[in-house]
Amino acid sequence: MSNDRPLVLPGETIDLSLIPSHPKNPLRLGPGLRHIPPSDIVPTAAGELITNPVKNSMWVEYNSNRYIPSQNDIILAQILRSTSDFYLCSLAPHTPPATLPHLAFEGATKKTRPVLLPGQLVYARVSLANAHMDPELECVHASTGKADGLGPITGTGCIFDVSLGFARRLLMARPAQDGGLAVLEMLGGEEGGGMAFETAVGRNGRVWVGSASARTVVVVGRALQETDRGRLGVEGQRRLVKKLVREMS
Amino acid sequence: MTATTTPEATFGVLPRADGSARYSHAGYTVTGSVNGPIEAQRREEHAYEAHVDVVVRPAAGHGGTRERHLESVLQSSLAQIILVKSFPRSLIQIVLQVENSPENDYVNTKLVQASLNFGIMPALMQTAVLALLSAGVPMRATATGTAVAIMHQDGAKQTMVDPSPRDIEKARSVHVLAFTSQDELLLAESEGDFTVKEWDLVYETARGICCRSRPQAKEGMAMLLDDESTGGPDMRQFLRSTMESKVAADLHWK
Amino acid sequence: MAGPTISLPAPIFAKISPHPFLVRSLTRSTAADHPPCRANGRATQELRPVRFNATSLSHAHGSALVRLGDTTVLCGVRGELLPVERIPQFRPVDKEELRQQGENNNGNCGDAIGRGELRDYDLLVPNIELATGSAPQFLPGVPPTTLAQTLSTRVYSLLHSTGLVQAGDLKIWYSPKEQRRGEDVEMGGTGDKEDGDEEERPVAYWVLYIDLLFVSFDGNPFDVAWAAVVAALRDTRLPVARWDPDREVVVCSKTERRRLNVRGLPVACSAAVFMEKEQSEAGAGPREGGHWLLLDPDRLEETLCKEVITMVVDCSDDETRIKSLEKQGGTLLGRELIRGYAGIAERRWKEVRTAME
Repeated sequence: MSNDRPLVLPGETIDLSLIPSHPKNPLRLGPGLRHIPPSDIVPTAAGELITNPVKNSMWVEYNSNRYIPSQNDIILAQILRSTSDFYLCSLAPHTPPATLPHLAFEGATKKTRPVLLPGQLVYARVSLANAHMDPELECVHASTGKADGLGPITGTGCIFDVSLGFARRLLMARPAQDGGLAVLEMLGGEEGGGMAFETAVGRNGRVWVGSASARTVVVVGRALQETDRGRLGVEGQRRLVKKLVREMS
Repeated sequence: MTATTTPEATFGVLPRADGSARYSHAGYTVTGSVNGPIEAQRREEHAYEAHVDVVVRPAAGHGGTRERHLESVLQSSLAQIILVKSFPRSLIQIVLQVENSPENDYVNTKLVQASLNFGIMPALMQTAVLALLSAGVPMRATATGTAVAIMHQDGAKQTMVDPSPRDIEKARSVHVLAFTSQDELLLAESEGDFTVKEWDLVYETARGICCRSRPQAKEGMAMLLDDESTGGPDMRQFLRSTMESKVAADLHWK
Repeated sequence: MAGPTISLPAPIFAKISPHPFLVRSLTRSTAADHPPCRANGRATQELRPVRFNATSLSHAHGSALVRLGDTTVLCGVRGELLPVERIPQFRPVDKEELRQQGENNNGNCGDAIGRGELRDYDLLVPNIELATGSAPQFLPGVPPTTLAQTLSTRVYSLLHSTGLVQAGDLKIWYSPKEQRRGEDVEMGGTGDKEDGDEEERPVAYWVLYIDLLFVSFDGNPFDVAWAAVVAALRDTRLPVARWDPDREVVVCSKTERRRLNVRGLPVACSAAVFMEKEQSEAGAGPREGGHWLLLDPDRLEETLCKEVITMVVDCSDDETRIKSLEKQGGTLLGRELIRGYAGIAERRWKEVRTAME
C-alpha cells in the first residue's frame, strides 16, 4: 500500500513515512489537508495524496464541482447588477455575488470607467478571497496598473461550462505539452482547417469562445465539452476534432 | 431481501449537482445530491459556520413528520463530520431521495406511517456520506452506519444485521448505530425492549461491521473469512474501495 | 489589569456571550463547600423536580399537567369511537393467525398483532403544539416547527414501541350470546334463535387523541411531553360502550367508566453534552478542553449543546428495561458513558414514579 499516490479518505491517519521532511524548507500543506496542532496532519477530502519532497509540500488531489474562490485565480464572471461603487458578479450558481469595484479597470476614473450591463462577461482576477467575506475581483494589476488581458469581454461568442480540473489544465502555460490537451491547437491548426477563434478560460469552470463565425464557436465549444466529459486523450481529441469539422461543414 | 446483499454505490448520477451518489443495500436505494457551499438564506445564515440542510424525500408522497425527524437526526450527525467552520455564512444542502424501499409483506401496509423507520436510516446516512465525498466537501471524518435487530426465536436471542421491515416488525428491539472513521460512536438510535447487556451485544456487532480494523480488511482472503464470522458487510472497506474507483476516474484532468 | 474593567450583571453576560458564561459558572472556584454549578444553580447531574397534576381538564377522558422546572405541558386524552365499518381496510384478526403468532413469538402472544392494529387503524393520534409565547423562539402563525414535528414523531413512535396501550383495551366487542342473555332477563325469555350461531366480533375501536400543549418551554421538551402522555393515559377513563344490535350503533354508558389499562411505566431521561471549547471540532486528535454532561438541560443549555442523549427506561420489573435510546449530534458519548447513563435514568425513573403516585 506504499505507492507514491495513496488514496486517502477524510480523517484517516497519514503514514509518517509519506510526509516529506526537508531539512530547511517549512512543510507546506495544500488543499485537502488540515493541520491539527501540535503535529497531526489529517486529510479532509477523498483523493490522492501527492507529496513533493523538493518543495517540501503535500496536498490531496480531488475533484470538486463547486468553485471556491481563492486569491489570484483568473475567472470569468458575469455581471449581475451595478451599485454605486461596484458591480456584483456571479462566479458560480447559488454562491454569494463577488464584488468588482467600478475603478478596478485599466485607467478607470470616475468619468472614464467602463459601463457594464447585467449579463455582460468580465475576465477578472480574484483579489480577495476570504471565508468570512464575499470575494472581490479586479481587472487591473494593482502594482502595474495594466490590464494584462483582463477586462470586459466584447465581441460575439458564447460561454461553455467545463469541469474545474479541465479548466485548470487549459490555463496551463503549455496545455498541449504538459496537460495532454491539444484540442485547441488542433482546431486552429490543420485538423480544424485553421479556424479563427479566441478563448478566455476562467478557473471557475467557464470557457468563453469568441469568433466571427457562429459555426466556429459551436465547434470549439462542443470540442471542449466533449473532450472534458469523455476524458479524451490526444488521439481521441484529434478524432473528435476531425469528426466535428466534418459534421459542421 | 436477505441481509447478505452487498452494498452498491455509483457516483455522479446527477451531473448538475456538485456531488451525487446512488447507494443501494438491503433493499433500499437512495440517491443523494450535495450542493455547497452555496449562499444561505438570511435566516439560516450562521456567522461562524456553514448551515447543513438535509432534505429527505420518501419514495412516494410528500415528506411528513417522520421525514422531518430523520432529517433532524441526520443533520445533527452530518454537521459533526463536515468541517462546517471552513465555510461561514454558507449552506451545504444535502437532498436524499428514497427510490426504493423493500416491500413489507404485511397485508395492511400503509403508505404513510408516522413512526420511525429504522431500516432506512443507515442507507440515508451512507448515501449522504458518499455524496459529500463526491462533492469534495471538507470533512473531518467519514461515517458508516448499520441497523441491527434483536430477535427472539425459539427462546434464544439472536442479533440480525440489516433487518427487513418484516423482521423489524417481529424484532424485540431495533438499533441503528453509526461510527466515524475514528471509531467514535456518532449516532445511536434504539427502540423496543432491551437491557444494557443486549445493547452491548448490539454495539459489538455494529462496531464489527462499521469499524473493522484496516490491515485485516486489506487482504482479500482474510476479509472474506471475516465476513462470514460476523455475518455482515464491511462498511469501511466498501467505502474505501468505491472511493478508489471514483477518485481514479475523477483525477483524469488533474 | 490594563484596560478598564467592565462588570455586567449575570443576565446580560448570559445574553451576549452565553457560552463563556456557562463555562465560567461550571469552572468557577468558589468556597470549598460550594461546588461549581450550572448557570441555573443546579449541579451538573441535578434534575429539576417534576410535578404532576392529574385530571386537570374536565372535558377530556384523561388529562395531566406536568411541570419540570419552567417547562409545563398540558396533555389531554380524548377517546372517539371508530366503528369498524368506517375503517376502509378493516381486516378482523384471525383466531388461527393469533394462535400461530403466539407460537412464533414464544409467549409474546398477540403483541405484534395488537401493535399492528394500533398502527393500521391509527388508534393513537398524538399531536404537539408549542404555544406562542411559551418561549421567545416560537412565533405565532407559522407552520409546525421542526421541533414540534420531531417531538410528535418520537412520541408516536414510542407509544407504539412500548405497547403502553394495547389494541385489545380499545376494542369494543359484540358478543350476541352474552347480550341475549341480558335481554332474556329483561324481556322474560322471548329470545329468538335465528342468529344463534353468530360469532363474537369487534364492532368499534376507541381512537385516542392525545393532545399536548406546551404552556411554557424551558428545555428538555421530550421528557416532559412523554411524562405527560404517560400520566394522562394512566388517568384516562373511557365510558363503557356496547353495541346496540337493534339500532346498530355503539352506545356509551353515561355513568359507568372504565380505567384504561396502561402497561408499564416508561420514563424518559435526557441530557446534553456541553463542550468547554466552543470552536472545537470534536474528534480528530487528542480532545482539548473538558466537557460536562448536563442532565435535564434548560433552554439556554440546549442552545449551547449539540450532542444530546435520551434514554427511556422502565424499572417496573426487577430488571431495568430500556425502551428507547437516542444519541445524536456528537461523538463524545461512547459505550462506557452510555452504559453509565442507564444508572442515571434509573434514578430518574424512581423520582418520576414517586411524583406520579
